Amino acid sequence: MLFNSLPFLVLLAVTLPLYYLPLPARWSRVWQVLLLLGASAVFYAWEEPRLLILLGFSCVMNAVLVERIIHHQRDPQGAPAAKRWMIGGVIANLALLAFFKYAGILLGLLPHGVVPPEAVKWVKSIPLPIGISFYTFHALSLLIDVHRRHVSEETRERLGLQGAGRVSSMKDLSLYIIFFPQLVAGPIVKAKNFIDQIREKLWRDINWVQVRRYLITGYFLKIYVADNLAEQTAMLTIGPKALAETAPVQLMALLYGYGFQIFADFAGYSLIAIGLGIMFGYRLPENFDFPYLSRSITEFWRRWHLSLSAWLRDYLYIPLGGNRKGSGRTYLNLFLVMFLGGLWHGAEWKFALWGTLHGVFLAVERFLTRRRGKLEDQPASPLHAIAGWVYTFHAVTLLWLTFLMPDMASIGAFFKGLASAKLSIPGQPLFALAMYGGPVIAYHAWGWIKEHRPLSAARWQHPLVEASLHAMMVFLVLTNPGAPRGFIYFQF
Amino acid sequence: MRLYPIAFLAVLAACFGAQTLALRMAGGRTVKSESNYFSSIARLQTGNREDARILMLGSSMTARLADRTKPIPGIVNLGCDGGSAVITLRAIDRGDLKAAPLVIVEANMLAFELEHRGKEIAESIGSDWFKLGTRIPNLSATARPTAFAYSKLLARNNTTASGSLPIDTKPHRLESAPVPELDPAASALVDELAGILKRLEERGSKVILLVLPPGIEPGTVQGDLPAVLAKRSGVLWWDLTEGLPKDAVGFTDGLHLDTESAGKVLSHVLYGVEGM
Repeated sequence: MLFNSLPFLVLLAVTLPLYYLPLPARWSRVWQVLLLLGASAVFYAWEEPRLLILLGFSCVMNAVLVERIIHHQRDPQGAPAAKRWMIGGVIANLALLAFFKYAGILLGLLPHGVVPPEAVKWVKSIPLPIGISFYTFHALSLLIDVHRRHVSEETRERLGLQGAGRVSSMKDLSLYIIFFPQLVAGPIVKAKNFIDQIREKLWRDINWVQVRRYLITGYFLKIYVADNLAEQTAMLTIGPKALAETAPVQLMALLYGYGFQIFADFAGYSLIAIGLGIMFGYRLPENFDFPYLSRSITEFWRRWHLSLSAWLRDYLYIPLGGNRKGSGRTYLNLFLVMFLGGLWHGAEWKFALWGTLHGVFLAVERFLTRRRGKLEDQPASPLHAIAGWVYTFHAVTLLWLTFLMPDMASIGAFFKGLASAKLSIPGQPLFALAMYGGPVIAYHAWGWIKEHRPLSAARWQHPLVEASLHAMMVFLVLTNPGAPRGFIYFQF
Repeated sequence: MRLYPIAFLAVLAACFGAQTLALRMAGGRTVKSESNYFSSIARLQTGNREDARILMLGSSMTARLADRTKPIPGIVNLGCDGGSAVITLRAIDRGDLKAAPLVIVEANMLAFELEHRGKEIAESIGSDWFKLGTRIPNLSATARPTAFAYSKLLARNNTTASGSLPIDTKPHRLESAPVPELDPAASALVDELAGILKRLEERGSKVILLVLPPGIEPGTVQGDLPAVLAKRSGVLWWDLTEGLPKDAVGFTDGLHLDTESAGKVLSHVLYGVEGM
């Protein structure tokens, strides 16, 4: 189900008033959790009900694993057993993810005859369950945070209940995994940050100022910016022959357009998810911090898909040793994390290439920074800052090509087209870039003002200004939407 | 606390007010959007509101005749960018779009339908939001703010339909010449379209299959399908490229007429069907 679809609006209109029914306190919390579970199940299974089987299995499996970890941790001698259950659970979750995401590719790489061709074909035909990358990461976070005792004691008691209490703990665990605003495309919430929030929610506690800010901006970025740009950037997938004959200005305009599109699509989704979370009393983490203001790839990863970066840092980079095992190991860890982060998007060469190149950029920047001293400690001259911004923006947008292009030939054709001497200035793509990329540029300009001119920014944050801006955004969403499309990150 | 909703509603109303004014000043329609999809939807939504004397159905080649010339009352252009006349013929047959006393069907891109080109346009016609946009002009594709801006940019170069082509052919029925063989898919499409055209004529519309410059190539599906359709359905046929000198018209990209040629072709066609 899409956030920008009529069935979703109906689901929301029905769920919200029922959620805040004035029930006695001891029933309210249970009712709210159950209602959210039901709504999340409807949301997830709307197009394909069979997907609920796998999701349900994941919830039950992880609830059992969590209970076993807590059970053994109650025993003073139980630490090794608890650790085994945690590691076993991590492997089980990753195995599920690997099967659906990578099995087809991996089986295809085996020598002919090792696996029957019919079996390979059958495995490859299994569709990727939507959101599996996201809810698997939630499950992993749950197991690790419980094992590390990062959730509150009260929550641990609740999650470790046995007998009839298992139902209660499974409810809460399942809500964490399948809470519909973040189920299919994040933000990735760590267990310790979500489960402790599960309690009775009251209508009067909803921060409607934040709700409207997040929802209006999110829908604007998705419906007006991303969906409109998508029609234009589709021209980049016309095939190598036509790409190689396209004028350089048009190619760059479309590439910038795709950079803006993927930001608007993903950031828009995240903002909508956060706004919906607030409506139901849950605070989800911010996922973007004006990423195209970055002056280095290192900085870019502190501003783009923050929840994934935080997850990879806490559950992969730091356990691998982080930057505590010498510079060589630091570079390797950076590279590995980005490489695996690339593969998380999909088991295709293009995602591996994307992750690899980002890893290389990070390692090289770390090396150069070590020689010059920490970048953050040095005030950047305007020229240095602009040069850094130009380099980062172009490196990032060129790397987005690996997301968009179906094969190496198309990427090669893109660069061939760039190198051509065609001088035509294509009106249509440039016009679209101005109309739909403009808001992304304005959004980032606002981010720059907030960071560098906070007093000026504060003067602009007046209800009248905000109301006018929101009204214009709603007007454009109603009158100038793009053709409805799914969210780009749904495919992961 | 009250400031926000009041300001929000006031600015929203002002935006719709400005849009309504712009729509009135533009004569109820914009010429073209930067989006091919929404340009097509806009033509269909606004065209469907009018009672046309002459309806022109086709692909972006037909749409170009409207995009580069000033509107003419009674002439409705339902060209589908990236699609073909099959989309609109089916919609008219279903009752989702209105017919007209004279229906001119572009023959050039009928074979596009074999590749299902323009299916997103086809799927949109008849949907609730399409009907909503047809009924409420402010929510139609023609009233997109970006369409106003883009049309303004294009309008600087627009022309009036005038002039004529140096040919003396007229719409006629294709008679004795042999019927080329078509593959099963193309043949099935011809049967379907022949049925639609027959029903259109039974309801009182006159139909002309029109071949626009640069023409169609005999011996190809694209070239043979329209001729087979003309013979099987018995509708009038008019190939504008018959006897047309090579440099009589110009193109922007080898396929779509340039502004001056679009004006000439449209004027020639309208003159040729006068009185029909």
